[in-house]
Amino acid sequence: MRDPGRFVDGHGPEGAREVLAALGPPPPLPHEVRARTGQRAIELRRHGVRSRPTPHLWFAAGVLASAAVCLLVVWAAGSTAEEPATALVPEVASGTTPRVTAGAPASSQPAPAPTAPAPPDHAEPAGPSSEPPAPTRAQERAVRSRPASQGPARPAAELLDPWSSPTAPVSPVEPEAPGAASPSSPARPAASMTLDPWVGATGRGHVAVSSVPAARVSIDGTELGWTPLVHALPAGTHRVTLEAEGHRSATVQVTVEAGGRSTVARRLEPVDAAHGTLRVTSVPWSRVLVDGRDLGPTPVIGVRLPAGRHQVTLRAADGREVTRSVVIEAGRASRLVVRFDD
Amino acid sequence: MAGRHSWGVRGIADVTRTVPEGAELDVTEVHAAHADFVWATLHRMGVREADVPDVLQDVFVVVHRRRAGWDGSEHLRAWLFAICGRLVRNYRRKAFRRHERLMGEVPEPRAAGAPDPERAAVAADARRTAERLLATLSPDRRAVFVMFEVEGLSCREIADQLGIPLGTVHSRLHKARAGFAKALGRWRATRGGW
Repeated sequence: MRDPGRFVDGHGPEGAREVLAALGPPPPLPHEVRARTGQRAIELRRHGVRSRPTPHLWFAAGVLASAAVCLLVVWAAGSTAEEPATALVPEVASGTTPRVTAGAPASSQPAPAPTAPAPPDHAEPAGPSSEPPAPTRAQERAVRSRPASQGPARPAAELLDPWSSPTAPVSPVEPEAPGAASPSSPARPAASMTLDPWVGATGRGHVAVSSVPAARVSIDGTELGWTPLVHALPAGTHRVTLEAEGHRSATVQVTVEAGGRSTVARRLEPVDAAHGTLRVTSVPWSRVLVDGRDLGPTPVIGVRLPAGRHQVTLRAADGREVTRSVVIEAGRASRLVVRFDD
Repeated sequence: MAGRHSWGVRGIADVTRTVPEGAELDVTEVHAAHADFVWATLHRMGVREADVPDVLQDVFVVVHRRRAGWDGSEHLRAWLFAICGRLVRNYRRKAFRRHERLMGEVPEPRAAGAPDPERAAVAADARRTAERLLATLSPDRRAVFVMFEVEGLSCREIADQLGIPLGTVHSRLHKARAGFAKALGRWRATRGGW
């Protein structure tokens, strides 16, 4: 088969010749590069390729590390939940020993549903005759009808309540039980400072933040996301900061009332306020020159120009020319429409 | 290497084969015989000037690691060419190449016999344009295209150099020319106005 003709001989698309003429043959291999890579080739043959851990090994290491972290967190959470239960055991134990054994399995389960009926294995250690009667159905109902305000998730220690209540003479335990369960809850008022919507159900309101353009929202220094955004906040005064690329950031003081909804809406000013845009159209089409700079044929849309007066020249295909003076206002879009009809 | 093409070099004098069949490939010998070819190929495939030595080094690391995969049935240069193509494809994907943009061309020192600065600037601009258009082609096609259109080699010579069948050169060249013409048309359409 005969060779096809070359672009550079005049075949091929127009302009290919000029473009390809700019390229030359590849430069020769420099001597120092040859020497350096040759030296490395000798090292390669002698020592082989140094093996690096492959990506899947890295992945496995990452999975193991994250699993270890998860286990640590679970263990830490478990140990804090266990604390009140173990603190309670000696007091309960002042009654009878079987109750201690009844308490132990309960404490080892971090968070069983509080409404669950007494597990059967609690009744198993009830061998000796000195054992107090098992909790009656009424007592279980009492547990079930616990006021909802006390929250659904309760530490395991509270499961001991039915066992230690009225029948046993360890009355101090019952008032203490909520108190003993509290070591995990003192953190809650503090948590309300981190804007957790689940905390402090009574004293909180909402704030709705919107902006043009979309901006990053920080409330009291905590970044929460992008506008539009609605967020729960503890009642009081907060600082809402809006930041957007190329715009001045704005900080707004907002007062949130309990159960109320406050609104923050802002238009952010562009930092570059000394420019405006120009849009030029004409009938028929023409070439646009702004201050002598050729912007191509109409329509010319969204040309960014410094604020002030500019000379716009339109040159029609038949040679007619029109020059107009245009004032660009900062941050505004200006329009110029020209008809060559006359 | 099973499943990969392994064409022989049919009817072409095999002057580039340096390793007898059956013997294990020695990376230093391959380097001594073919470093120039790999260097030129990487240039033709569009690796940035500053990165060519690094990619060249990578080619020989791959040659050493995969030396058992070359069974001698394939032209050694075709095998090297395929390795170059794969590495250049990886190189194009590399993050640094996408993120590190030159803010402007580094001014080249003026050679003794160079024309005036304006002509040098125009030539540099034309070269950048050509590079941008060629960047739309795949490394394999680009190399064949550059060898034919720029370096003026015939298809037979290209087939000899790359150790690939003549028909493959023709098909790659055809597709590369079509791609280049398309890119050129697009460039010329956008060059006028903005």
